[in-house]
Amino acid sequence: MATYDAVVVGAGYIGCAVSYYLTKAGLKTALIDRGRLAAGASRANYGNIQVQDAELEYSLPMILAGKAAFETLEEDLGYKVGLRSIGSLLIAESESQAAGLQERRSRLEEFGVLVHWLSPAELQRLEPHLDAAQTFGALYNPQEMQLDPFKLIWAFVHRAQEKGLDLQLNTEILDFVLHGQQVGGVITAQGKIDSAATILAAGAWSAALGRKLGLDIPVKHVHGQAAATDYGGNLLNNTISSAAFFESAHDAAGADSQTVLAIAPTVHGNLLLGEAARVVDHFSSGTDAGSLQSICRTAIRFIPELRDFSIMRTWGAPVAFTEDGRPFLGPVSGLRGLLLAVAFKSTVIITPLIGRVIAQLVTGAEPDLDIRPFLLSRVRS
Amino acid sequence: MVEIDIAIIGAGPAGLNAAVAAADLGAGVALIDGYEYPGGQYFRQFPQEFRVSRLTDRYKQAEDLFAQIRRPEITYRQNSQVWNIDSDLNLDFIESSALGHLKPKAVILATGAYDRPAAFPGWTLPGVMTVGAAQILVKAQRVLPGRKILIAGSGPILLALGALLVWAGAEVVAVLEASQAMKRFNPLSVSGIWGQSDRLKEGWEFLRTLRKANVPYRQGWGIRRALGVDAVQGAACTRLDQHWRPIPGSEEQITCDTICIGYGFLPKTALSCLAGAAQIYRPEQGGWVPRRDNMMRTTIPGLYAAGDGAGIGGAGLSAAEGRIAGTAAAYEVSGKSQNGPDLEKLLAGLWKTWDSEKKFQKLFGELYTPGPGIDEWVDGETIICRCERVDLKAVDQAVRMGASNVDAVKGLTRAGMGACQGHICGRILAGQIARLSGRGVKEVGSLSPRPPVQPLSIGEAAGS
Amino acid sequence: MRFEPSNPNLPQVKRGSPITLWIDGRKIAAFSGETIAAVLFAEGLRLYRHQEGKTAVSLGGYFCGMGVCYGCLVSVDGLRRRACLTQVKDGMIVYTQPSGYGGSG
Repeated sequence: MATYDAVVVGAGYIGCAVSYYLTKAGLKTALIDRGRLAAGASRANYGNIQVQDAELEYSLPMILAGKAAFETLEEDLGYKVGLRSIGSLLIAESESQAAGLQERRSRLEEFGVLVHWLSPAELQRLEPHLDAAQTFGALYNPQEMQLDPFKLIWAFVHRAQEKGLDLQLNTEILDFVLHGQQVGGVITAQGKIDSAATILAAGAWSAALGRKLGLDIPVKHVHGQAAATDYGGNLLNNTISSAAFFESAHDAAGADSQTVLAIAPTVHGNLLLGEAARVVDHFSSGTDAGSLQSICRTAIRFIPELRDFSIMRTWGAPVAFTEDGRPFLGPVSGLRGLLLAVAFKSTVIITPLIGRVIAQLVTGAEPDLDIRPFLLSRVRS
Repeated sequence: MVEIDIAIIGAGPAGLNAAVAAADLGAGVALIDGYEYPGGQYFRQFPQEFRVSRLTDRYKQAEDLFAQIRRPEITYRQNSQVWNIDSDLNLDFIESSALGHLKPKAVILATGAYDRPAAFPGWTLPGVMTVGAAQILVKAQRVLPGRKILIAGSGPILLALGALLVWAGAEVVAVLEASQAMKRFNPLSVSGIWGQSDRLKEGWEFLRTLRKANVPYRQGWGIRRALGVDAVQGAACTRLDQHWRPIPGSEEQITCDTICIGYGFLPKTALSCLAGAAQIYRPEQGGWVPRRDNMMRTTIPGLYAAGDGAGIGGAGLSAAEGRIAGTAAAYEVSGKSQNGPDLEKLLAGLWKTWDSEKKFQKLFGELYTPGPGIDEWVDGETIICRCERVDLKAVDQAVRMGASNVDAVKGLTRAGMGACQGHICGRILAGQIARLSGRGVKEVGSLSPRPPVQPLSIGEAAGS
Repeated sequence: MRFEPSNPNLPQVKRGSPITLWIDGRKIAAFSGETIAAVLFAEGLRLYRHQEGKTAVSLGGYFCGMGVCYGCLVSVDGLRRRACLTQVKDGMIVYTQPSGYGGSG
């Protein structure tokens, strides 16, 4: 029977970052996951560090703070995680989306983020291989970034392991340890893990885990699917995604697969294509031909030359989302010893920040972020 | 339009025999093969445009089998690549630039095998190719792969290629057999040799051909490095000990312009992994293979696997397994019990053949399964993943970063993410990670396949 | 190099009808039924530089001969094809070097 200062449930971006900062603060930490490292949405992630598509109401300050943490991250970790600058384009596919993007631009400017509005002609000049005639213009931020998701996660875990992290993969959480209203750890098939603090960072699986505590954590998920191409051609200079993403916003009523354009060139020279998304209640890492066809059609519509390239790999993952687009972060009223860190939208960019914030909450230090907008209590009746 | 009860993937010896056996019992069969012509590698045909003066025995055997699949119960789909399968037997394939889908009642995987390469310095030079690749050029295309040819690897196929090249008029500079097992081998004392007189005769004839042509055949020898700047110009070879480790001080240089390598075969198991079939580690059968029972059933209901694609065993075993799988699957889809005496009676004769072929498979494994030294021929600059140009140094770095299994190293180095989907580098990568991390090859696992199991053109996937 | 076997162990083969194709800008005579890989060998061309990646370094080219390794990719009428599996056709345009690709530079 082991006693820890903290047990982290979920070894995705968030869980791994949290584990790193907890062990860095000298806390005896265990990291548990039902599968392997980054088995869920994190595995399907592009590694984009984007500001301009942030949820504007509450998340933008968090995201800006997150981005600042990246300046020194590689140095702090002592690892190269493939961090590089790359611009991002938010494509308008309709007049109303264009208007929405224009408004987004002014809101971003208020926060000190400068982005540019491009007409289709200007977009065409910036991206010669993109069929800009398919668009109504785009928002352009030349200052975004990208990294290799696997390397980041691995770096967090490896450094944490060097500081004594107990990593338990392929380990299912059977239940939580509960002493009255105090969460005291978790119970797995291997046994009980007593812990002063329990951090739930299990993405789409968080709702089911919350129910074991009698807690309603309203996290839903889509089955997101994406694909990687082979090399060639430098077809894209920036990452592109469609403003239709804001409209679909994982519309719970829509059961059909919708493909929203999301294409990212990687540092390796190939493209990541996505993403088809369907709200589901099952958990799967599979892909289906219909979604792949949809992804390919969308990709060719915008970049006709992609027709001659190949799909090397496809994957799917449950991607968590919330009704208001904000994550659940922080303590839960009525239950001591539990911290939530789930359903982040712009995940990569905030990983170091969230890791730090959770470590601060556990040690009782003042958190670097005002977490009040993200508490679970905002949705509880 | 015949209703498809059983989809058979692969039209080599196993798939062809499975199709005939299933059709004989009245099942509607789709025989799906990714190549232009049926027959797989073993029954590889000449292109239709070529006129052949006479057929060899093997071609005659192939023709018989091809004739047997021309019947209404069997729908033969050529140039049809299955790129995805799930545990419910949903199949996705691509054929003539169009996407297709099937959900049969049963699936028989008869995907076959390919030459197992080994990595050594210079193995990516033009002029280095597999034994099978050379055979295809010479046999099916009547083209020589080079002028001075070195053959290095293990197994009787080296002799077959050597003889073939001699007949074709090429100069074979040497045949290097890594295994020394045959030196101590007494055919009369081994039960696995019964019923294999044809194979033995063939082997002796190849050896005689090589001797007559003064081609050195060395056992317990291997290739240390391929030499050359833009292409192969020579090779450094060494003696190997019984574990296939290079013996220091025994290096010799051989002038050649082509090096044909083949260290046995590897089964194409990607589809069985995608479908979720449990895998077991059998190094003498090529590594990780799907677990099966004596009816060729995998752990996934309705999914069968037969032939070299489920464990290396040769054409005879493949044919027997194909017939067993076809028979058992036909019973399953017709609703008849697989546990009754009827099926047992049908399978009794096939099981006898199967047993005898398995004895040969076991013997073959004992003689030619590579020793651990095969993973020690590399140096830091040796390319491990050809598609992504990942060298041993990068793999070593990943292992030092704590990556101790193949998937983790893949994530960190991109090894296995290239066009070949890990077919060429997978086993090599596992061997290197095992060696560098001090673990067993079985422990480090293997590359988890993702669909598509081979690259899919975006234009074709878009289904325009 | 194409060969005509004089050894009785190998059956005589008559190749298909003569065709011409373009390889790296040169007009090449070949036979119907031959694979691009076989024609390249017959012309003494073994070095394919088409594979682009992080480093544009040449790879060996023909390696497995049966469509598994993807080392023999060439550009055929603008599309990427495996030379070992693709049969030559009259008028085909083949490039073994990436700069020969239409459109992808």
